[in-house]
Amino acid sequence: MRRSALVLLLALVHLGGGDPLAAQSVRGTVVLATGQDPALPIPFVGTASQGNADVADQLFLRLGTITSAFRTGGDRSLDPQLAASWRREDPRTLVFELDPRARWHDGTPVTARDVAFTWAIASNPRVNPNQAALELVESVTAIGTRTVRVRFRRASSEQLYTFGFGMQPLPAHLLGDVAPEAIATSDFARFPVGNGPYRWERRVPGQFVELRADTTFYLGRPGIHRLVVRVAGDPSARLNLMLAGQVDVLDNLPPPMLEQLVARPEIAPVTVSSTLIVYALFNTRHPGDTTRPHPILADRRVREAMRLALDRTTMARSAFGANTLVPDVAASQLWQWTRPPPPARPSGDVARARALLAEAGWRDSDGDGILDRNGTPLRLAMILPSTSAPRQTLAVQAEAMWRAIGVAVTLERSDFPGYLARRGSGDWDLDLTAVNQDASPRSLLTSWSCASAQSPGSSNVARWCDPTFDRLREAAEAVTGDPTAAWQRAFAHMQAAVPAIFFAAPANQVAVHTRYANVQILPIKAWLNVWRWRVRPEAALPRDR
Amino acid sequence: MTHWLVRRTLDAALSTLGGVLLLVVLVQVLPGDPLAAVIRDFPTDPATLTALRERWGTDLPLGTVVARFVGGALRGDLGTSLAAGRPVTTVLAERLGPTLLLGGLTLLVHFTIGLALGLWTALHPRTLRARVIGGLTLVGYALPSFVIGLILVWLFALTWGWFPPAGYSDPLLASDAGLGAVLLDRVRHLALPLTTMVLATIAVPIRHQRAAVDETREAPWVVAARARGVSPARLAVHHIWRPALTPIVTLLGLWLPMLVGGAVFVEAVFAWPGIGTLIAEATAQRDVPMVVGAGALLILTVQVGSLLADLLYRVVDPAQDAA
Amino acid sequence: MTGTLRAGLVLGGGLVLLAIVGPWIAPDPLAQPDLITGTLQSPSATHWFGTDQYSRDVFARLAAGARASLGIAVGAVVVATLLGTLVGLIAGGARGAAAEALRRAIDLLLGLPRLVVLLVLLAAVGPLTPLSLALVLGATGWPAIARLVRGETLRLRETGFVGAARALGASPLRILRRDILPGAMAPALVAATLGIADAILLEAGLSFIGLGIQPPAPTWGGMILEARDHIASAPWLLLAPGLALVVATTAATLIGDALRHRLLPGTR
Repeated sequence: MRRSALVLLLALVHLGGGDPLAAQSVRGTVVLATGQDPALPIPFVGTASQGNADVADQLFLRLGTITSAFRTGGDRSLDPQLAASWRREDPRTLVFELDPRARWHDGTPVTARDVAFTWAIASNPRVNPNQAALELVESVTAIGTRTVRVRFRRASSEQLYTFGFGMQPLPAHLLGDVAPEAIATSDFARFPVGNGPYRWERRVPGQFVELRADTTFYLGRPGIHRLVVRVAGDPSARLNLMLAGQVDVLDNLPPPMLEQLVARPEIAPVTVSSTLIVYALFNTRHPGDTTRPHPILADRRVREAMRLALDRTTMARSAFGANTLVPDVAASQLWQWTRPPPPARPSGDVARARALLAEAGWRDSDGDGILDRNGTPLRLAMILPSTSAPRQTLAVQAEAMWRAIGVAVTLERSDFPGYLARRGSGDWDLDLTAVNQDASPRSLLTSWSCASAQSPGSSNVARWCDPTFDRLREAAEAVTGDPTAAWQRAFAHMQAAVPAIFFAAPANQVAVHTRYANVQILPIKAWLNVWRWRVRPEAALPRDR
Repeated sequence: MTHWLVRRTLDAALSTLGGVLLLVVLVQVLPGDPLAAVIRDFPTDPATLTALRERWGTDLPLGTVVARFVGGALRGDLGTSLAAGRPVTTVLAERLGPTLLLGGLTLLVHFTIGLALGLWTALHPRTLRARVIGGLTLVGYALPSFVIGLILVWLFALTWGWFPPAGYSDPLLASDAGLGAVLLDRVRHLALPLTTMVLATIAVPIRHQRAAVDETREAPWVVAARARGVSPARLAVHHIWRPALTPIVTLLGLWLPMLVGGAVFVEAVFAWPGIGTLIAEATAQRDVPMVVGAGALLILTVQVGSLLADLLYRVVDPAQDAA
Repeated sequence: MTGTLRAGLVLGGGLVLLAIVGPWIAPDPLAQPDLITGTLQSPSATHWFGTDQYSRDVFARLAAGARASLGIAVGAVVVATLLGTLVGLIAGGARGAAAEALRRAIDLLLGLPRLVVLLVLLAAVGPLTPLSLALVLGATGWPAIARLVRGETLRLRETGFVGAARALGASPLRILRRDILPGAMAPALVAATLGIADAILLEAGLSFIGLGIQPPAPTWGGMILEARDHIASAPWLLLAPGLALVVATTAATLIGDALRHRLLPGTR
C-alpha cells in the first residue's frame, strides 16, 4: 500500500498537448461545484464554509502563496504574491513590501493601510471566530503606502506562513466607513471588490456565483476567462451534474463516484496528495469520569487487537480509493516527507488479535459471541458524524470485523453539531474522526500533547498525554537543519503507543474534463491556481468561446 | 360574513403567534453549543467565546430571547442566520421563489389534470383505462417522492440526457439571454422535479374528486335531470361535477402549506434551492434563527391556508353562512 | 370491497411473513463475507436480490429492514393513536374553559409544520434507535388523531343513547368509556391504518436525508440512501427496497380503505 511515490505533491497535468499561444482565441470556462451557497465570500467576515472560501480565494489574494514543496517552516516557505518581498528584522518581526503593481478591481492600488485595516477585522473576536489561526500575530503596522511591519508574540519558524498565507487583505478605501459587523449587509457584500485573478460578476442565490477574469491581473492574464461556482448541497446531485456535462471538475470523490465519472471519455482522473487523516481515536479516560483511565481501552493489548482485527488495506480502498495510504500514525500525505514508519500488518491479523485479547483476559464465557472479563462484556461505543459518507463506510466495515473477533462496537451517529458536543463531553469509547491537518507537523501540539490534554475545549478530546512523545516532538521542532530523522523518531514512538487506529491518509481524487491543459490542483486550497489553467483550442466547447 | 372574517383572521393571527412561540421554545432542546454554526471546529479560547456569545446573544435567558424575537418579527426582522452571517429574511426571500414555483405548478397540475382525471375515472369506473389510472396513481402515492426522483434522474437525465439532472437554471446561459431562451431553460430544469412532485401526490386530488363525484352521481337532482333528458355532457359538468367541486375547493387551502414546505426530499434530490432544503440544512447546522424564521414562514402558510379553505368553503357553499 | 381488503391483507401479510421468516431463510443481514470480490453482485440463486457495496445480502437486509421499517411505522402509529384518542376523548368530553384550552392546544400543535418539529426533535434525541424513532414519530403524529376523536366525541355526546345513559345516572367517565369510546375509535382506527403508510414513507424519507436509525441496522429508507450512487451499475439496490415500500404502503392504504367502508359507511 505504500504508493506514495505515485502520489504527486502537486498535480501538474498536461492532459494532451495544446499550444498556449493558440489558446488566446479560446476564452475558456471552468464550472466548479460546491456544497454551500457562497453568499458571503469575504475573508474573516463570511463564515468559513467551503463555498465562501472557494470564491473568496479567487477574489482576494494572500501576501504570499505556498511553494510547491508545501513545507511551512522558515522564511522561504512562500512565493511572493501581494507582497513582492519580505525581510526579517528580528526573531519576532517581519517586514513585508507590497507589490506596486497590485490593484483592486476598481483600479485603486493595494496599500499597507489595507493590510493593517484587515488585521483589525481579523483580530476582532466578534467578527472572526477563528482567532486561533492568527494567534501568533501581535500587531500589524503600516509604514508608508507599501510597507507592513508585523510583530509576533514569540519566535517561531511558522511566522511567515501564519501571516503571509493567512492574511487576505480587504479594501480599506471601500470598507473603512463600514462597521465590521455591518459588512455582511453592506453593498460591498452584494458586490465584492477584490484584487485577485477573478472579479465578481454576479450571484444567483442558492444556485451559482459567476466570476470573470481580470484581464489586467498583474501576475498575468488568466487562461480561463469565466469561472462559475455552482451550488448543489447533495454530493450525488453534484455527481449527476458532472455526468450530465454541466460541471467541469469535482474533487474529494469516493471510489464509486470517481469510477462512474472516469468511465466517460471526456473525463480524466487526477490524484493530488491531501491533508486528510482518518482515524478511530481511543478514549484514554473513563467515558463517565475523566479523572479515571478507560476501564477497557487503557490496556494496550486491547487497542492493538482491535487494530489487528481490521483489514485496513481493503477498508481504506473501498472508502477512499487505490491511492490511499494506510498509516500507523497521525500523518497525512502532505507530511510524508517526515518518513513516518510503515504500517504494521495493514491487512490485519485476526489470529494475533484473538491471542492478544485472550492474553488480556477477555473470553466468551457465556457463549453469546461477545468477549467478557469478570462479568463485563467487551462492548464499546464509537461516535461519528452523519455527514461523512466515507467514515460511515469505514464504520460499517469495522463494526463487522470487530464483531467477528467478539468485540461489540455500537455505532452512534449524530449530526455534526451533536457529534462535536458528544466528542467534547468525553462520553464515548472511540471517536471516528477525520482531520484536515495543518501543513506543518507542529500542529500536532493541538491534539497530541500533554498540554492540550489539560486545556478544556482543546481538540485533544481523548486527553492523550505521553511525555516521551512530547519530548520527541519538541526536539523535532527545535531542529534547525533537516528535521526528518527527528520526526521519524517521534512518529515511531506514536506507532508503538497505538493511540488510535489510523485508517487512511487518503489522496484527493479529482475528476477533470480533458479539454483543459496545465491543470494545477493544490493539496491545500485546491483551486488557487485555476487561473493558470488553459482550454486546448481543438477541444473547446461552445461554453469556452 | 364580515364579522366572521374579522374573527377568523384574528384567530389565525393568534394561532400563528402561538405556533411560532412554541417553536422558539422547542428549538431550545437542540443539543450542542448554540454557536456551533459560527465556531465550527475552530479551537476557541474563552475570550473569543465571550465576544461571540455577546454578539449573537446566545447566552440570554429564554424570556429575553422570546421578547427580542417577537419585537424583531413585528418590525420584519427575524434575526441573523448564524451559518450564513446574513439576515434570515434575506435568505428566506432568496429561497422562496424556487419553492413557490415548484409548489405552485404542482398545485396547478393537481387542480386541472388531477380533477379532470378524477371526474373521468368516476364517470367511467369499470373501464380498463380507469383501472390503469387508479393503479398508477396508487403506485405513485406508495413510492417515496425521492425514489421517483432518483429513477427519473437515472433515466431521463443520465441515460437519455433529455433534461438536466439537478439545479434551477443553467449558469452558462448568458445573463442577457432572450425571454424565449430563459423560459426554455426554466422548463427544462423544472421538468423532472415537477414530474416527481406530481407523480408522488396526484393520487390525492384524483381520489378526492372521484369520491365526491361518486356521491353526487346518483343524487336526486341528477336522477331528475337525467329523466328530463339532459345531455350526458351537460349532466356530467353541470349536475354532477359542480356540486362535487365544493369539498375539493377547500383542499386548495389545506394544500397551501405543501406549496412551501412539502418538497424537502424532492429539493434534496434535485439540488433545488428552496425552503425545504434550507430548513434541513439549518437544523443540521444548529442555525437556530434560520430554523425559527423558516418555521415561522411555514406556520404562517398553514394558518393562511386554513383561513383560505374556510373562506372558499363559505363562498362555494353559502348555506354555511347561516350556520 | 372484500376484494380490496383481501388484496391489502395478502400484500401486508406477505411482508409480515418476510419479516418473520427472514432470519431463517436469509443469511445474516450484517455479515460482509467478501469485501474484495463479493460486492455489488447481481441477483443470483445464492443472493436472490444481489449484494450491496459491503457484499451484504440484499434479500436478508430487505427482510431485516421489513422488521425495522414496519416495526417503526406500526409503533409510531400505535403511540399516536393511543395519545390522540386519550387527548381527543378528554377534549371532547370536557366542558367549559378546559375543553376550549384543549381544543386550542390541539389546533396549535396541528399548525406546527411536522417536518420542522421532526428535524428538531430527531436532532435533540441524538443517535436513533428504532424505539426512539417510533416514539418521536408518534409524538408528532397524535394531534391529528386527537382532533378526529374530539370531533367524533362531540357528535356522539349529542346522540340519543348517550343522553339516555346520562338520564339513567351513569357517571361521565363511564359514559366516555362505555358509550363514546367504541364509536369514536372507528375513525381513529381508519386514520391509524392509513397513517401507517405515511409513517413508512416518512421513516424512509428521514433515513434518506441521514436521520434514520444507526447503521449498520437496515431500514428500507437507509437501503435506498446507500443505493444512490450505484443506481446505474447496481439498480437492484434501489429497486428492491423501492418495491418493498410500494407493497407496504399500498397494503396499508387498501386495508385502510376497506376498514373505512366497513366501519364508517357513508363517509368518503
